Amino acid sequence: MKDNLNQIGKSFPIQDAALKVTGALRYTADLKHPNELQAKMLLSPHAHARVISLDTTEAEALPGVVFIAHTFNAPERAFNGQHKYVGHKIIEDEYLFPRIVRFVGDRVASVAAETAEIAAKAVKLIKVEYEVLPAVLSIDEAIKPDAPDINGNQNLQFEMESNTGDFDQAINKCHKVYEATYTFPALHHAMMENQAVSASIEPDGLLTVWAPDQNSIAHKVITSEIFNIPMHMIKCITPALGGGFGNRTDYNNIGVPIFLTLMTGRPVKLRYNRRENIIGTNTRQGAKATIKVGVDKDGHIVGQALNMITNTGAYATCGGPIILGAMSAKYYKMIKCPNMKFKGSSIYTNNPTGGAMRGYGSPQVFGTVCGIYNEIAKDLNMDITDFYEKNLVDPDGIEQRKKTSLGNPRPKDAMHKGMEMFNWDKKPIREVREDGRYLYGKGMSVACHGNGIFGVGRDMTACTLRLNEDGTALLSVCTHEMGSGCVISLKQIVAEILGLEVDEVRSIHGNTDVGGWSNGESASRGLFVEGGAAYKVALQMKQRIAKYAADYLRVKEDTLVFGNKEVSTTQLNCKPIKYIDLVSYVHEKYQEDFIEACTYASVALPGSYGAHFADVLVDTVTGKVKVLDYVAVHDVGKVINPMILEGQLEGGIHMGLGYALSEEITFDEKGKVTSDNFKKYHILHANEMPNIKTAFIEEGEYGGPYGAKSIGEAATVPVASAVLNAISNAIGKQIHQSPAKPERVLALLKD
Amino acid sequence: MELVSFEVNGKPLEIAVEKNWTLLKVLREQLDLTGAKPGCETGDCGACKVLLDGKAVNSCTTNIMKVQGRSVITIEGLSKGTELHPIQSSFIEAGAVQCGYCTPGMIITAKSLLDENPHPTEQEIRDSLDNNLCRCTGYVKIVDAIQLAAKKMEES
Repeated sequence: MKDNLNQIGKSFPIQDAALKVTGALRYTADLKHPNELQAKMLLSPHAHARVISLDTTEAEALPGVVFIAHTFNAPERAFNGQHKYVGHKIIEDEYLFPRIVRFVGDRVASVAAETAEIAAKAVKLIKVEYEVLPAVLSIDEAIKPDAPDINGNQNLQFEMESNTGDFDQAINKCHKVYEATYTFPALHHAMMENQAVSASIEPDGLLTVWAPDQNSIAHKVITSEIFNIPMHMIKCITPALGGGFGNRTDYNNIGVPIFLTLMTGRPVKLRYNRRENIIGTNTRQGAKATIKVGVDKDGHIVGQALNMITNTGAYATCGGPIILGAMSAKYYKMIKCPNMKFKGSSIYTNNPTGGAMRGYGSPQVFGTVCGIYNEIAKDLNMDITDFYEKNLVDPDGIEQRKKTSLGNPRPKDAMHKGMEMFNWDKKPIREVREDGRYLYGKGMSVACHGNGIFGVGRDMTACTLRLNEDGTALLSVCTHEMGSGCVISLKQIVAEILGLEVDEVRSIHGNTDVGGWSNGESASRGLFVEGGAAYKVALQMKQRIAKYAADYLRVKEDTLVFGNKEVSTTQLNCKPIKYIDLVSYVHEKYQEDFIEACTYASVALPGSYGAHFADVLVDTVTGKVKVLDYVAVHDVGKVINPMILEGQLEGGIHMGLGYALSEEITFDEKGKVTSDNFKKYHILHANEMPNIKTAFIEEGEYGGPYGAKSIGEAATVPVASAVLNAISNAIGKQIHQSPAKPERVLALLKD
Repeated sequence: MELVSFEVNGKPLEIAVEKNWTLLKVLREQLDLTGAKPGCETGDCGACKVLLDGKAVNSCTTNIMKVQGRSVITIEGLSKGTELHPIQSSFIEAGAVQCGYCTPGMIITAKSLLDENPHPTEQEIRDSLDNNLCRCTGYVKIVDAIQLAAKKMEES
């Protein structure tokens, strides 16, 4: 069916693409501010220690050193880097510079100097007296009854349980019960741009902060609270984001250059190198999950229980919200099983702090669930796709726990299409190749992620839209373009509704002074919620245009047709009015402008589902795995911008392949990160990638603009399971610990 | 300080540097050419690549003293005024740009490759990108863009 859409469903390049290919776009570290000081950090060498004293005499004597910030002179206001809004109830246990450092990489001091070299030299001259405290460096150590208490409550930062039906009864009556424990390492986001922040009191008196930021509005609030500065005197600007992936939802070290600028009266820039970024900013939580699944003879899941333990590291950040708002919610959205239990605990350790990362808990949940499903299908001698067919939710499905609609979930459609594209039925599950040196295997998984935080928190975006005097449009919204294509999608929506071309809509964004309140670039809410705001404000504008066009043309509003920057009517003998003339007419006659504001609050939280398929070749001599073909099909409701959508999915696959094969933050016995550069923290290179094919299911979703829903996080969630299941099938043993590094694969082969 | 003379984007210059400075530092901090990006500063990610006598190198691990008498082309030197180089326009058209941070380095590597090998196979393109990391795209559309650029450059 032709949908008569002109801008929706077409490919447009990302916002600022021309600036990016010419090197003209200035990211935070590229900006130069007059008279700017450069800052360097002293990060803790100990996993757990009390800072007894700091001697900065020698460091301060170094010519060019201007100020040294540390725990004895910095604000002592506790905060949480994931604090979202005034009144947000969340544990506040971080400090700009804590008195007790809780991981190798925690903030001890920062030097502001005339050059970065002088600051780095001065950092080495700071003498710190530490009282080294006993550290706990893993979940297992932290939950022992006699473990040192890292941050209160015997290391139990958060805990919850939820259930539906009667798991215990179901599991006792079922045909067979399976149980397994899966472990997941901490991961680095590996956004290519390292953390960089500049702060300055500008001549207008505003504390101005430049940072690659996914939630500048929240970070304005945290800044206001730490430094007791009223919010109207703070402006946070996001010049560009060289990748976000959740890392930049966190406040991170933003407060440090702010404090230095307040103390020195000069602009200050702090730039992390890759090592500092890996050890000193948030990670994906490592996790340990035990799952128990009971099935009937036909392979229907009759009971399922998941006990998820996450490692939040040194500080709470979003340890609780990830379990409560994300893991425990997604868990109930994929299968029809009536008897389910979930237990989640977030544990403090002396590892780097866990935080938000693409998928926000879902990779750990579905890494466990999709792993054991592979084990079950194999044991039942059933094709894994048949097992999913019996258990996945249907389009009219309900969420078992809350008995609410799941929206329009299409995991089965995605799976069917993927099977066809992958040629699933024609490929063997495993095969011995080349005289036994290589083992071939295929695997798949189905998983989901969300669309915003409706029902969990404040899920709204406010924005304004102006029609310029010539009929072009200006959208103001505090979104943050991190490479996901959010801005171009919003422009497409506005252009579609107002009958403009996409390049006739300009967006101002990435600045807390523009638009209204919004809950930031997280939870895959960019298109679903911010897109909803663009849709709503554009409709308001269309109504305003309609009202005045009907007045001018002396026709009824329901006869109006919008397009080509003009309004025409279906009535005969009536010439269209161009926007440029209409605006002038209204300015003259009514002295009214064309400006609209709206607050859009999300109305639903459907799942975005994906089915992924992979086949692999395992070298039994080296343990190395080569992924051959990869197919991913996603249930996206409606495609807004095919090129951007494919790019998001392809990038998500790259990230997930890293989780499956190579990515892992590793530590020495004292808690120091050993994978502190890209040689040791290996993300896949271009020549290590498989042949990727993608496709999309477009069956519409309630609550999304034009029926669209998210891709950004969902793209990453099923990947590692699909690949690990393929490897497991190839070697004949399920892999319970990711990533499947060669040494682990070899150990399993020898076992 | 030492004096070093070299050519940047066709313009000869002589500047005073410290012996241990990198080319990346000089480009970004002395010459305000910030198109080359620091991503790792260990030679692993390729975001800082520039052409040194026509070959793509990591400017973060290139000592400035080694640049004496040589020619450097940065991403800023590829376009002519507002006219984009075919590789640049191909990156836009193919959707190879997401966050954009790796993009300058990717384009420089592509330029170096296509100058030497105007008709690379997909495998040759992938191998040429072995020292360029991207976290956004999975490289799929970057490879597409380089193939498109090769076609455009052949036609022009």
